[in-house]
Amino acid sequence: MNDGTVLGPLLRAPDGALSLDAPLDLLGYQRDCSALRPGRATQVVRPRDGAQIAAVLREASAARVPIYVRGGGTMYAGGVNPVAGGVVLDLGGLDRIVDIDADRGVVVVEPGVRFGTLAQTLTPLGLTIGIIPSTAPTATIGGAAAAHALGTGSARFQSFADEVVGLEVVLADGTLLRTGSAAAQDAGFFHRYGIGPDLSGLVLGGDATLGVITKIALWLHPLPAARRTACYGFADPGAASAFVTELQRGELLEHVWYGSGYEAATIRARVGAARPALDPAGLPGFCIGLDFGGEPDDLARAEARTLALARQHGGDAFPLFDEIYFERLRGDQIYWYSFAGYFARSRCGILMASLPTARMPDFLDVLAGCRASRPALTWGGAVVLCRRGLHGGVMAFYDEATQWDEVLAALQDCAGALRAAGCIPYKCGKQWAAEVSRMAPYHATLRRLKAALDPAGILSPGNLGL
Amino acid sequence: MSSATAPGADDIPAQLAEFARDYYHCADCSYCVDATWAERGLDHVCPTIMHHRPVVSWSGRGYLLAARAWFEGAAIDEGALAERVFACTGCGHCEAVCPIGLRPAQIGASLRAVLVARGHAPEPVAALRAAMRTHGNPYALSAASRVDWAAALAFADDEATLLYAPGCAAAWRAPGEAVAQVRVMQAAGERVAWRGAADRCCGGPLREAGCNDDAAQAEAALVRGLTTTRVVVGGLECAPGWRRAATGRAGVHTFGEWLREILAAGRLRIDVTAGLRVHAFDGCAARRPDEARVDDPLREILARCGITPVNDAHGSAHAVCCGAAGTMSAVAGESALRMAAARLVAPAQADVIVVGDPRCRAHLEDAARSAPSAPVLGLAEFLTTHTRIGAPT
Repeated sequence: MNDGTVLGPLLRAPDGALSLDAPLDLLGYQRDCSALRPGRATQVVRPRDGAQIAAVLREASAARVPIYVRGGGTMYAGGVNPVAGGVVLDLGGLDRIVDIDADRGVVVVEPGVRFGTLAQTLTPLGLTIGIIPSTAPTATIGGAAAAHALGTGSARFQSFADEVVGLEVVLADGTLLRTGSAAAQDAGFFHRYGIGPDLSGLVLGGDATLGVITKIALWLHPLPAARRTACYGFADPGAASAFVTELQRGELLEHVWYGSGYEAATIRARVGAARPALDPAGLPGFCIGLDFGGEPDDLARAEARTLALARQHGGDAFPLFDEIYFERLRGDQIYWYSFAGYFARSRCGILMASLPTARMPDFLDVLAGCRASRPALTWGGAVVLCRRGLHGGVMAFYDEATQWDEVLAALQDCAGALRAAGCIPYKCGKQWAAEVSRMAPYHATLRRLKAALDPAGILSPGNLGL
Repeated sequence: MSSATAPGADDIPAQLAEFARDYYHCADCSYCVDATWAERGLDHVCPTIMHHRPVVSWSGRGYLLAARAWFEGAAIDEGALAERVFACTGCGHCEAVCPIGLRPAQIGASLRAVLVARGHAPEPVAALRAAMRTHGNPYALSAASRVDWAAALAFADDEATLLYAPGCAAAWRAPGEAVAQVRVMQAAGERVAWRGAADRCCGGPLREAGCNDDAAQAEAALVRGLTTTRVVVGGLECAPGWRRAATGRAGVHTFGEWLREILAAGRLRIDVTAGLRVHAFDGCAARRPDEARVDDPLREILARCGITPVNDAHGSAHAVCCGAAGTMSAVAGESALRMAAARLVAPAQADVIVVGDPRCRAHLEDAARSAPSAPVLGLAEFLTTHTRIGAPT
């Protein structure tokens, strides 16, 4: 932790934008939820609209001042950490829900709108958006768009970016760009693709390296009429991964809004805490928890079909885990703190990786290897089901006073092991910068785009290895 | 802002060491800053962030980060820090929502105490302390006027069943509520004693302002000459100091706690006017951190009276502070009134807003003077004006 010592020149904040440069104020803008080291911003500017952002970017480009864009600061990849100094652009002031168009099935929001606020607005209308991340109470829509997000809905809709209809983006030279159908004057947001290639995709997951998102249009979906959870136990991760592959291949996740898989260590820890008298030898080696959503009749059919499929793969219903853990997890909607709150009361470093479903056993081997090689850290991990493939999270809980160096080294080792196991980086930020740089043609293309769109290199230096 | 001061490495770390675990385990989730989560009844968290300054350093997370930096030996601008931590209402919402049980509100309280001890209290806080030393109340009003609220009341001069201590807020800023509390207690058959001119502030405002030494002296003075074994305090913020002082000598109850007990025992009958739309004001006293926590049984009492508030209880534990608490109203009065205005409800929504704590009640009424609002009444005022109270038949 540093003291926020001021470095470099200050920008003139546009009229109406809040500007902060007191060291005490800068402390809160040095880092996100990752274990990565904080940066030192010179200044924080909190604009209220796209025009103010454009003014800041034009001036920053001219003065070559780094700009780091911050939403809720809840990501785990260090994307908002101002490691090159400069200015943090706090988008918390762009917090308006611009339009809810039920006929088009689209909601348009500013990037500082929190998921919790949007859900609070949409729920009474019987609507929801496809992907709501685990950090919903404080995470912002803009942050999820810029840095990738997954969560509730991934089993049905895949990734947050897949649910984006279009964007409004300010480029480094102050140009205001609208993507998809909204690129045409007055057309508004209703199709992701208009003329030519998908420019939304350039910015989604780009960690604010190519532009600053100022509006996001998302697909709306009806809220499911009913929800229920169920858990399925398997002897080992191999059987569970075959089961999940079959679910995905058969498109049987239609009524599943959330699904995650839990390793043996998690099962034993949870059951041991709740039922200490129970013999752990009889517990499954792996568990899949599914959160079904839809019409009650559909749910009953989906559940029966899923149980039958689990049994075909040697699994069975595991109601105990549902009762003591998964149902509560879903009911409380404490996805994120399913890790922090239920396992360890501390900060954690997380590595998130995408993986083909068949690689799940390998992913879990990596987790087991981390646990064995760094026993001083408390390790946790889980996989989240997507419509296709999986997202895996490896978590290392640590005491920052004594274990900061160790957790950073451990995560670095883990990243290499995950790559070797066929898993690829997800939520890049700075956490995975070294790994992204290894993807030579991809990274070279990114660099060329960056040079064209942000020639002064002001936008989020360090993110994605750019 | 004052010039930066390098704190002595041998004292600041020691004073802030109690929270070392918090500094190094905080996950930066920002729940304590501003979280919204409808399923939990959570609709924003920090009133200071919402209504005073939308900057992290004015929130629980900001206090934690500042304390960590100071603990680690960073040079801290103590004037700037004071500006931020004394704008905290001390409502404790930040601690209530922390998913991993950290203590940002208590860290804020410790920072205030450290800053006061180092001579960095903001001017309004210094004025509050001076007012307490000179006049015995936080409003710098004449000590003699402390008795004015009770002019029309008769008190027991012997064989009292309880001692009533209205508290400064009720005595000066909500005298109607103080009078009504006494009348309700007397209707239940209590022989109520009162110390008159010898009544004293409990030191609660001093403790909230980090003036802990002065607060301890005020608390010690409370029990000198105490002869009853039951004390009922009017203000919720009075209860913690009284409890610390009277431990082993007297049981201390808030008026609400007393009334809940009396109703449960069937010692009072309350007949309610039918059709009245009552908005129950959910305060923050019950979720304040540590020893500052005080039960506020307003909704239980209304339910016992057969009243169903128009605002349901979902989210009542997460109601955002009205700005009356802490030093917010002293250092940033306009922001404190914005906080209160956000808690008012329009006349179309309710016939009356009923409030369990006289301090909140007075503060809300201040805000209601410039905002359309249903009338604001303290619990006892409401009972004495909108219901019929009597002995059980």
